[in-house]
Amino acid sequence: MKSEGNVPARVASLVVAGVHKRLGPNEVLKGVSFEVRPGEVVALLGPSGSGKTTLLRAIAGLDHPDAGRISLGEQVLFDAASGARLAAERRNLGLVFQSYALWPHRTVFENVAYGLVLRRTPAGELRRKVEEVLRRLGLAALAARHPHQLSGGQQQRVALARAIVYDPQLLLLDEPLSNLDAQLREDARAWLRELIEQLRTGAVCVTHDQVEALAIADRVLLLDQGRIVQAGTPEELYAAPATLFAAEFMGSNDRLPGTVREVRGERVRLGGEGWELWGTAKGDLRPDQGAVGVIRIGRVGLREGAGPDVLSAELDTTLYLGERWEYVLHAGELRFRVWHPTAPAGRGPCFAHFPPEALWVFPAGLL
Amino acid sequence: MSRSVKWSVVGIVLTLSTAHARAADAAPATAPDVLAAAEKEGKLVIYSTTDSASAGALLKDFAALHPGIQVEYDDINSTEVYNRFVSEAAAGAASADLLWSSAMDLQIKLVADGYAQPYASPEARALPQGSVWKDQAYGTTFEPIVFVYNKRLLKPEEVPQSHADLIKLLRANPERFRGKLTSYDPERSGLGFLLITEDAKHDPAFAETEKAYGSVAVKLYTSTGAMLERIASGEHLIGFNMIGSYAALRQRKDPSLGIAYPRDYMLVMSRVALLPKASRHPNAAKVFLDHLLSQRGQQALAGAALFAIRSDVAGEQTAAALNRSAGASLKPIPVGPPLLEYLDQTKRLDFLKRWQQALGTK
Amino acid sequence: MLITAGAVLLPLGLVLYQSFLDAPFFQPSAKISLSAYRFVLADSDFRRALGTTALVALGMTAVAVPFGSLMAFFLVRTDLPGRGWLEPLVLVPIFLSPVVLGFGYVVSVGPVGFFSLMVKQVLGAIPWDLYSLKSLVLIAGLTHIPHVYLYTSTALRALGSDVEEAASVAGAGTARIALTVSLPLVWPAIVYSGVLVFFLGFELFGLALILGDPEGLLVLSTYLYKLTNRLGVPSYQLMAVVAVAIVAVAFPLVALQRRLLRMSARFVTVRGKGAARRPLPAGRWRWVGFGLVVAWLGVTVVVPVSGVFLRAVVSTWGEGVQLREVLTLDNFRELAGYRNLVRGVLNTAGLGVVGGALAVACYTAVGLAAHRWRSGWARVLDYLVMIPRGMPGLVAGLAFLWVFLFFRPLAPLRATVFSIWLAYTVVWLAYGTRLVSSALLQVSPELEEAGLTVGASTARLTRDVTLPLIRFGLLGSWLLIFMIFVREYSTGVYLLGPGSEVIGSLIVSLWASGAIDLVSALAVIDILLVGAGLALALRFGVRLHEE
Repeated sequence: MKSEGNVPARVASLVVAGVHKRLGPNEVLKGVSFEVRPGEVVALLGPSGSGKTTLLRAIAGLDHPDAGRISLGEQVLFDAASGARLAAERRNLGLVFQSYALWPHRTVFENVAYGLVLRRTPAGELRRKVEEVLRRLGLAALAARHPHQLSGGQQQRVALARAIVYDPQLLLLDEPLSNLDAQLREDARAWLRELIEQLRTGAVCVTHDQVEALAIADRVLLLDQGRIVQAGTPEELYAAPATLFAAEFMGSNDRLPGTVREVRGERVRLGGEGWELWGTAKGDLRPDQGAVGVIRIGRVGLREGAGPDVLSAELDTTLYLGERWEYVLHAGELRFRVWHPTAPAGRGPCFAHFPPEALWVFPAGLL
Repeated sequence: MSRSVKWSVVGIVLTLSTAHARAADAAPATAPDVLAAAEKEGKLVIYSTTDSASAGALLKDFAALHPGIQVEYDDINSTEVYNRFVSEAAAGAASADLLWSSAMDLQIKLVADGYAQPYASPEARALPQGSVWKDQAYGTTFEPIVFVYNKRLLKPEEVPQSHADLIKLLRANPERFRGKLTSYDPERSGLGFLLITEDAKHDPAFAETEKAYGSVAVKLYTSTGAMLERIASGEHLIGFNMIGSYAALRQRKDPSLGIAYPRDYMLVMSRVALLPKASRHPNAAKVFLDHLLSQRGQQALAGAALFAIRSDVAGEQTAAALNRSAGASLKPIPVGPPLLEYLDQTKRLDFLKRWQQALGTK
Repeated sequence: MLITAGAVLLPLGLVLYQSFLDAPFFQPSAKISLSAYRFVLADSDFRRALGTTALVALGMTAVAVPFGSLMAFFLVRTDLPGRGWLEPLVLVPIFLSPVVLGFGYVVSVGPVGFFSLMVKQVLGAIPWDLYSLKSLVLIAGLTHIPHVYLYTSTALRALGSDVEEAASVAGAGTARIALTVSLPLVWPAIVYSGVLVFFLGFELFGLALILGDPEGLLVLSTYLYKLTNRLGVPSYQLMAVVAVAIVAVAFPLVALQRRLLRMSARFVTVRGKGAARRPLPAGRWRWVGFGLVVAWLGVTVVVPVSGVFLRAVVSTWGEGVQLREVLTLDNFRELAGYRNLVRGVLNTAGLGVVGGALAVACYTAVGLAAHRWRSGWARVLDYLVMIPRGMPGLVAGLAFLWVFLFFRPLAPLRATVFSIWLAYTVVWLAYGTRLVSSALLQVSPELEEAGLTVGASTARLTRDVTLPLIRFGLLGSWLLIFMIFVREYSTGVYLLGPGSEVIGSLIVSLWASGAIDLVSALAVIDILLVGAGLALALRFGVRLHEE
């Protein structure tokens, strides 16, 4: 359950307004605006090239946008109009790099303590704080080691410790889980979420992994080619995507390209060579228009026989995924996948049921 | 106490050996008011091409006589002396009080360009004719220009006794001497050029001489040391237009070197001293010049194989000894305007062109 | 930045200005004219010298770069036997004066060299000609290998083993790894050092003088000698033209260098994920590599140094001389009588150690500025640092004299050690800065950015993060500069005075008076001193590598 809890007074809202950024000939950010409320975890989700890392670096102050405004509470971090630019080292934010960027010539303790050293924290208090953070992240035994002596997961935690030890106003994370092996990733996202909740600062997390974004964030901002194409809670993004891009980016989907055969109010008949199904229209659709149907694989079920909203399909192959089986089927020209708890009985035809309310039909060419 | 005085063991030995003679030597005849002013100035800067080791005895003697005058002795090559002095003079910055260089033509040029102040040194009376110009340029040594050869590898009958001898030798045995003859490169060494032009004046068969050099592929260098080294080792057999003082000094330590004094004509060069007009310590400079030209100063030079120019100095490396042994064949290069002849660009380049043609290199 | 520009452009500007006059610039009668250019460009000797110089430079680079980088790989990245003591020896040629080195070769393998004579007895003739162009190129190349080595080894040290191990696992042998992984990763260091060596070839003097003179091989710096005396009176405008010509070569060189390093982000290898360094097994290349290094040492160090040592302990040498009969320690005894010697040695050591450290501090500042400001300034800086070295020693010495004479604010400093130090520092700017730059290239910008986000100011960051990460580059730079300052002479020749003489000036002064024996003795002392200094430094922590 995502909670907001009691936030201390010092933590403020991050407001990003109309940020543009050009890198060479490319316009990487084309006017991005959003807000991060105190204590909120926001995920910047998108494919590579969508500008999410650029945006994060702009918030951190490592790169400056060409236009727009970024402020944290009362403090203006960047304002193109007035020329205000606060240097990165004065923003008091915590940034965890994708590559961790640990200083190889310093021990774990020194890496973490550096932020406090810069803030002239007295020796006793410094030691206490560093040890506490290390303990919290399970790194107490590694304090005297050097980064090259640590595993990837340990290095990640050191990077995190370094970023939070001085109680930053806002935590910025660049692909925090992408460098971990799959097994670690699942554990990591749980304690990361827990940690951030405990810290009660806001966090902005950049990721290309939608599972990660859904799991960690209170709100997800989906970016594509420098723009926010949809913003909302994870549930909203998952269950109610506004565009084809959003629909396809989230979850595991079956994609049904075809033509609109018929429109009946909200329902639309989508068909292709050898198949036809009813779905829910998302956007303006007319008959004979090209369209793409998207449905979460999990919503496709197998039936005993033919029926309404059922396709008869041939089985191409099956994959065992541990908890379930994935059936790769084709009906006419359409290829799609279905999940099922058990293996197929034989090689005979399968009957796949597509609930119309779960099959979103978008106009083709609208991303 | 004077600074920068390099010691030469040889210098000390010779100094000691003539000490009894010097004890009786009178001090140089400098005017007393000049002396007094010099003591007040207390310092003297010299740019010289004579290396500190060879000048050691001279400087030590000067320090003994004038402990109150600190001598700063900068030992650099002739081009550097010229460059540095001229640049500093142009900037009006502190420079030398005395220039002592073996580049005779450059020194005369400086005088001709008005850089020197005239000073009639009382010691100059004892110098031979043609060694002082306008009381501004003083020849201070009498160094013969000789042949140097490798004693081990050259047969006694092959040692050239004259320039004509050398040419005959080369013509008779071109293969033996191919690549084994060496001298200064007139194109790259000012002194080398000067000596060759003097040869052209005194050698009746100079055109033939040039060709003879070319026929054995003479090896030309800029550095005395490089040449002496190569003669001593046997890489080359004979060097001509070599500076007698360097050869004599080297011969003291190295048994491989032989010196032959040409009998048909023997050039004599002189290191020229001048006192710059814009000197900061003019009187100290005058005192030093007097000392350099005095009998005791010249004795010190002779001790360092620098061939004293005064006639009343005892020893082998002196003008007196040379005059006795060579007499009329000595052709001292006069300290005066004739040295400027080949500083004229066109003349110089013409001469060099003819030289290169004769050598077969152009 | 501005200071650097000023320090570089001042002497160079003077030289450039001088080249367009028809007389020394400080003479009131001097007029603007192209006569100097016309004279030089029409001079066939100039064209000949230019051609020879270009060949030598090219040949040198072709020899030094491949061998230098391979040697660096073997000594730094593999477990080659004996690499502990081989490494310091590699740097020996750098601190030998080229004139002395050249003469060492003459004494040992010249036409009547002791080694040549031995070979002649066995084979009947000497199969090599020390004075040929080939030999000059070869020796110049071999003696410049340490420069390439120093750059490449510093860069190789900073590599983590992970990239090499990946290749190893994929099936690549050590040789393949060297050629396809390790060396390509230190490409910037190789490029920098290659360009530098090529440029040094244009400025080559000592070796060309000793080894080129006998056959009349003319290079640009010895051609300058001709110009000095051609017209009787030193003509600065002609010399300036030659200097300008050499400096002009710098521009296409730097452009080439920039092009070769365009994608320098590829070379970031010091990242936040620390990787341990483990040496690669040299395997079957073990003894080949070892042999290669030893052979190089033999030709480049043992041969000339033995020549120098020999010359120092004999009264005469050459054909027909029985070595046993002429051995003596007189040369050293004579040298001991020189009071200036001790002072000269101390001055030189001081200039090298302290002056070198200060110079490296300057170079680091310049390198950091270039690293941080990746803009038009950085490009200008690239050119700026290169061009001072374009001035041959003869011209550089003059240029700096003039700067300190005619540039009012600096005039009072002329007679101090500062002037000499400044001249040296500016002239060797390219060297020191490049070492620092290539080290900086290997540091991931993220490491610095991490420092920023944690709250470090740029100054703090430099102190706590950047500098420690490039410490090997800094040390390497300091060592190199130390050795260069120790043997430098011509750049400060007009600024030296009694009391500030250095070993270089002592050697030249002795050489000019023909006392080659004393020069050799002094060179022996010089070698022993620097060698001792080097050994001490390495022992007590100025480590070239970390363990």
